Amino acid sequence: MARFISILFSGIADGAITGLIAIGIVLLFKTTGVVNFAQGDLLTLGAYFGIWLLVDLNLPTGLSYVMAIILSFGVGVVVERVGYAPLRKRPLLAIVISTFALSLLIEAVIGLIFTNTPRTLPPPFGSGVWHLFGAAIPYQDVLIIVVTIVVFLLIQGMLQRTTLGRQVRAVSSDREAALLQGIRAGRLTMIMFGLSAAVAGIGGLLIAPVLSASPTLGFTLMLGSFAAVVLGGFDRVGGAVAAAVVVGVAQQLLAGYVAPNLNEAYPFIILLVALVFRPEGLVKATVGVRY
Amino acid sequence: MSAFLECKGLTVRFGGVVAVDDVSLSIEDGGEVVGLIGPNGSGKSTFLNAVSGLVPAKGRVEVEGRSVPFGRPGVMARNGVFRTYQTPQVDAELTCIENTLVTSPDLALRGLLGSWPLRPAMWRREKARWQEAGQVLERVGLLDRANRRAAGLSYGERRRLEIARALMARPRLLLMDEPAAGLNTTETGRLADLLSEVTSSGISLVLIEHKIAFIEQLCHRIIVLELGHEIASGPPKEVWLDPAVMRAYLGEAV
Amino acid sequence: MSVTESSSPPPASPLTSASEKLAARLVRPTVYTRHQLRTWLAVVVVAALVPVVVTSGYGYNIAINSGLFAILALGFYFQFALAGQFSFATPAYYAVGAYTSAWVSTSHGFLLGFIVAVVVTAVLGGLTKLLLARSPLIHFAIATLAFSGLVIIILENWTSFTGGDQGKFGIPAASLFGYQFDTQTKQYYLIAAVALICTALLLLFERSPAQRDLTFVRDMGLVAKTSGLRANYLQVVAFAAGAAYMGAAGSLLGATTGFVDLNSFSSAASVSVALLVLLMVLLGGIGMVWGPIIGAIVLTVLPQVLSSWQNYEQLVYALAILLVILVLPGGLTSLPTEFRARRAKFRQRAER
Repeated sequence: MARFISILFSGIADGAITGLIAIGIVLLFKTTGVVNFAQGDLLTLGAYFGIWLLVDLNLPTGLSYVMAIILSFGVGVVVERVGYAPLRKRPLLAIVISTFALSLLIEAVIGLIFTNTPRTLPPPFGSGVWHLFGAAIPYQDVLIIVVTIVVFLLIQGMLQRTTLGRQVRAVSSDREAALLQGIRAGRLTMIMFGLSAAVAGIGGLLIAPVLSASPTLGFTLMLGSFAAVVLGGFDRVGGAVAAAVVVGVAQQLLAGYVAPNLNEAYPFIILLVALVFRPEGLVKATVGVRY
Repeated sequence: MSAFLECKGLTVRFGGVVAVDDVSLSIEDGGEVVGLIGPNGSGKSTFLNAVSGLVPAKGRVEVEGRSVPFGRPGVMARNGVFRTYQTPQVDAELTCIENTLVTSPDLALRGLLGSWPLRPAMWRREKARWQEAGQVLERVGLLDRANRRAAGLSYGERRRLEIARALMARPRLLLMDEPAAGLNTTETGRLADLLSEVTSSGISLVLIEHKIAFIEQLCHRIIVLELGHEIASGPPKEVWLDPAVMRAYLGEAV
Repeated sequence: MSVTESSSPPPASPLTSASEKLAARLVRPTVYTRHQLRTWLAVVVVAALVPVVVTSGYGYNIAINSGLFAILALGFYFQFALAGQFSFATPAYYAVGAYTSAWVSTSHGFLLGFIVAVVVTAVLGGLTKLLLARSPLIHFAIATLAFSGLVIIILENWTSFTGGDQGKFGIPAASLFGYQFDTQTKQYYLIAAVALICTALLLLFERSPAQRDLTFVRDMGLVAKTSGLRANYLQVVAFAAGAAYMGAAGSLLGATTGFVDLNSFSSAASVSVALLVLLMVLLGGIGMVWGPIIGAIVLTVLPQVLSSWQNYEQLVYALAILLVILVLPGGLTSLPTEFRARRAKFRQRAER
């Protein structure tokens, strides 16, 4: 029982991190119709911003976190300016490839500055554990889950209650009509790229104390997020986060009870199975024919 | 003689909206022309989409008495039912003759075998196909553009190229979504001539159209839709006088 | 069905004399009238003369590598440019081809190993596309990323098949009907010949009804289906053919180096092989068959010349992809056309 609970909690925490990447992917898909392959690397970047500010520059924890999130937002805007804005009129594949190139670029830059040696971030609330039914649950896992819930609620509130959110929903339901109504697409995509990068950055700050940060950290995690987004729907933030938690728990259960030595293969298997059996997730949004 | 295409009680729902509600239509083989008219949003295009297998629907669609499943666009095409779209769909990258050739029902040697080991046999088949495509292009008046890329065509020419693609498939029924939309008077006249020539060659038509003169020239029978319901049907001259149709188009006061 | 059956009635509209003349002769689609004989001759001569310039073993390594990557890039071109499918699975087919061929050729000789590798990767590629037939573009790209990762993990764990960290040794050198390709010169000619055959097959495919239908399916999506085209069949076939090219490259890799190890494909290297091949095709240009070949040669030779850049390799590749996409979407092979267009525009302006 204790083992089950601790596996369950670490699964939920894993799912929360992939969920944070998934939130960014969904936000961008809603506003632009494009899947950003650099989303995972924005998480890595968030982690390294934290390490740089907190460990290397020795700034106070709160300040480092806030600055890391702001920096992530800025990088998101740059990604939009370089990898999306100039290609807006070009085929979808050109944009996909450019985000992929940006992902490699971020990885390469991180590798050059911080080298490939894994680094860690000290957990903000120490490495203590919380006992629940005999299971030891690290404080960091609890923090991950709480922060993800808060971020998710904020994003949902933003989408439902604010002008910005209404614009996103309008653009995602009928792009051309929304643009004709005077929505400034350029500004909107810039903000959304920034916002999803900031969310990914938060994920990076949360995961860095658990898994050590290496340049490919985010890209690996992103595969789980893809599975979540495919299962939960490319246009639903709630669905994607819920699916991310399911995927995270399933992965931990498989690793804990079935075959632990294949741990690294599970994200791939889950993703492939999801795509073979639910291939149509995107169809509605990408049918290019106007009847 | 039984109907070639028979749609019974077709219903399409998008979430809570019933876009097409229990509409039936049957059309004879051999050149019958049925017009499908109605105000914007009355479900005409959705009806065609459902029949051609693009949107899921309830009801029954039969071709020559055999039931056809929904959501399988290829099956409908192979049964001899072709459709055109509101905005002409042509591949801008390909030339006019290539755009026509793709729908040739002669599928032999159009894969790896024909490309590699059986090339001589492929050439023989291809020459026959080119000849036929040339004739079809001549029929729609685009033969002199045969080797130009479709990207350079005018809107009206694209429309005719789309019709050429449909004719190449040797269809028995064409479903046309506003073929005259966006054409000027001369082009509309040419199109009407082309379509009456097509029907006299034995191909039946279902037409969605807004231009009254065009409908009167071509259609034997029309069906009027409003908000997804059929409100009238019959020969054009009679339907115009139907009070329900007047109400739908002109409002209550009339 | 023959043509005579379709008794098309005389056209109703009066014909102009010009189009009557046109109707008298057969209209031949322009694809079939383009001739590339001179380009072909030039390429064959250049390929044959490479050993005159290259004399060192190191030079031969580069030449052989260029050839292998050219075959990989041609396979990717098949899938990406012709079928319109973006895939990350290149390293997976490359690796499967290499190991399959290694095992079969150790016991049954090179030729059979090569054929089995090609068939196995073709089937694997076809299955990938078939199982994901309903996946739209981006889904498919993501799925191939997962597929590739999975294949590499399986190979890493299946040490009895792959030889683990040491790799698989003792793969016999290529031989055909008793003729041994035992020197680097001979091996170079073998690979150049296979690459040229692959190119020829691609060119033949591009000038065939299959490519016409495939283009229509690629560009028009659902419209192609309502037009009765065999969309799935065509895409599965083209994707499988591209995968078979990659399998062939894998087989030749083992047959020239004598051993295959996982370092060429492992998780970290896997992204970079996929990336490298993508960059080759983009840099060369997807407008014509020569694009991927030129891209493969440039990107194999260049890193050797700029070996001091080794630490910045990934950075340079990423920047190069971005630059090509932003500035030169047609790739290097589009430069002459671009240049001519610019010059024409310049002249027009000068005349005014």
